[in-house]
Amino acid sequence: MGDEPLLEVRDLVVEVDTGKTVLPVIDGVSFILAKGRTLGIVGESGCGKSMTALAVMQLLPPGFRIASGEIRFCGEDLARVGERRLRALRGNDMSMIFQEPMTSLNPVYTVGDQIGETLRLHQRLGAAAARQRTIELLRSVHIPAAERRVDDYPHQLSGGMRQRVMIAMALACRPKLIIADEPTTALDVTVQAQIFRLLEELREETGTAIILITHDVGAVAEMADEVAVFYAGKRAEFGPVDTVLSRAAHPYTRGLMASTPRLRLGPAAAGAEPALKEIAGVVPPLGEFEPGCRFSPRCPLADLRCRDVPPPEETVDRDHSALCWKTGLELVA
Amino acid sequence: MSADSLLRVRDLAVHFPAGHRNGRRLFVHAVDGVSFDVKRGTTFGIVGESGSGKSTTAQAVMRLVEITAGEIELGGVPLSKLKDEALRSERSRFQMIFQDPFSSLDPRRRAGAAVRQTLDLLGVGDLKRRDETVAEMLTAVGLHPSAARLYPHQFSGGQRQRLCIARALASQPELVVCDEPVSALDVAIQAQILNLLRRLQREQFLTYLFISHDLAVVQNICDEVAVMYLGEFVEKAPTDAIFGGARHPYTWSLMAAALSPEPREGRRPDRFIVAGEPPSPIDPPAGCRFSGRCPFATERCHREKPALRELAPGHQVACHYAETLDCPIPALRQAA
Repeated sequence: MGDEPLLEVRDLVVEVDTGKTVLPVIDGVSFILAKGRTLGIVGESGCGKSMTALAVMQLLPPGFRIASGEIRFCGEDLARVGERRLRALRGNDMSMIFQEPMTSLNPVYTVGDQIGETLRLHQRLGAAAARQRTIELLRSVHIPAAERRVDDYPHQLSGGMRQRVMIAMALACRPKLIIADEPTTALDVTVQAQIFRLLEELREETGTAIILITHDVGAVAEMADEVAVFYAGKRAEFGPVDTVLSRAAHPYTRGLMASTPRLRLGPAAAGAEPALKEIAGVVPPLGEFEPGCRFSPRCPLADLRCRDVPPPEETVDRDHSALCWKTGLELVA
Repeated sequence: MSADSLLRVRDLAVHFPAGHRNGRRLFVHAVDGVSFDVKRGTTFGIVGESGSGKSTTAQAVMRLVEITAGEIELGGVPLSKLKDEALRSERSRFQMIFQDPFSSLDPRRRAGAAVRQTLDLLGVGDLKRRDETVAEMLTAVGLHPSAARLYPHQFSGGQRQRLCIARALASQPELVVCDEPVSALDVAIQAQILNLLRRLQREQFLTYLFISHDLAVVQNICDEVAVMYLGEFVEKAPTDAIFGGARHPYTWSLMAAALSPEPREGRRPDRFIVAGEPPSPIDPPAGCRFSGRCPFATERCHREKPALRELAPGHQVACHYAETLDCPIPALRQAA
């Protein structure tokens, strides 16, 4: 890594108040993101990956709050700064792309109005300058006939085009950080490939750092430099993407990769498909975790200690660590 | 057509009315002349993007949408011609599993009752034995018989899909139409459901029509695959043949776009990405429907519609240049 951290999240705990009881949805998560890098956060539904994104943006839904920990963005602790400062940061220095572009765009305003608003508010551009810049932004995300499309309403655009508009909006103020929460999940595969290429291209041009939140290990392999694997509100594994994907240390990461069907093309396509490895069982409901490792009820390697004693953060390699008692043991499934 | 095919679909078309323009009635050409056979005990996959017509094909086979043209036969019975009571009496032979196990279960109906309802509605089996059948079905899909007392919200997504499978299999159908059955599930759970479907097929000699947008899932479970684009099949072949040596540019674009969980060393930086998105299924292009996005398209492609023709036994491709195009995917070139 080497570069100074742009974002540093340390021991983040986010709790939800259900009315009856207070439960931690994120439990002591840490990670570092350097300038211009892409961090993938991967995990199954309910693992806390989206909540982490919302905590960084300070946009947690009602009932959720940051109980402890630090979120340092360019040296400022976001958990401590006021709403006024946050509003200046959001949109300007950090922005977010959501999964469903249709619900995150306002249907009664044109695309130009919505991107222009960001520019007028944050960059104090006049109407004409904002429009000009909006057209440039639409061009930069490869929207054809941008000078006409700028006056379109969201419903006049296809799903892929809408997501391009969302990306243009997120990029409007040249932020230092973009958080993309499942940005291609609602899109078709050929369009997904276009959007990933676009994000890659824009990152090279602008030096924006990206946090990519996804359930898809393939998307992480495609886009990320570093990866954090989340399980049940904990960071199970963290490291450079190549290292983690080729030498996963946490049994959960290995299980996740083994259960992902892989395309076998050309000569590799011949012969019967091997059965997929399963991860037995399901993620336990919030608040019903084992006292020890939360993955232990589903882990083929778990023993008594795993169930009873929380696992340590084991360093596997220089930048590669896993929250596991059995790191390094071969998985015997 | 071989004698052992259970499902036989010929020139199926499904058009939906889409209002008027300049005094002319418009139609969405959701499915436009699709033919295929599914052999008993095998899985036939239809893969494509949204709007390709793959789900409409599934719904047409289930007789859930009105068929504009074509024939559907199930084990010799002309499903496409049956009406009302005659159709209902055949229903137990073909059942469906949907994508979203949340919206396809009644939230106020207990799991056991959901499975039992299939038996009652279709009048399957002895009345006294039905509760036993429910328990057997739940066990077969990996749920505990005591789960019969629970409501859908008390299950996880994967368990709910298991319940939907139990419900579909309760009437001992020959054909099960699976419309994106694992798309809404987490990967670890996807693997469980795919393995379950494979096991049930082996044990009960089931025939599946499997709809998916995910090539890797299709390769995992299907014996034969059709690739659908804008209402038509562009390529159809046994699974090994299509993944070993696809010949249609659209199939290539799907394969190139599929993400792999491999570390980056093996990635292709200059991979094949087609531009644009599928055009509207109202007024589809006159020539090849993929020609507007195809990097290889010539003037002929825009003008003349390519027929689905046989390149090798069982391997059909709808492309004028299927024999000569240079495949942009290195792994597929090795095979040729």
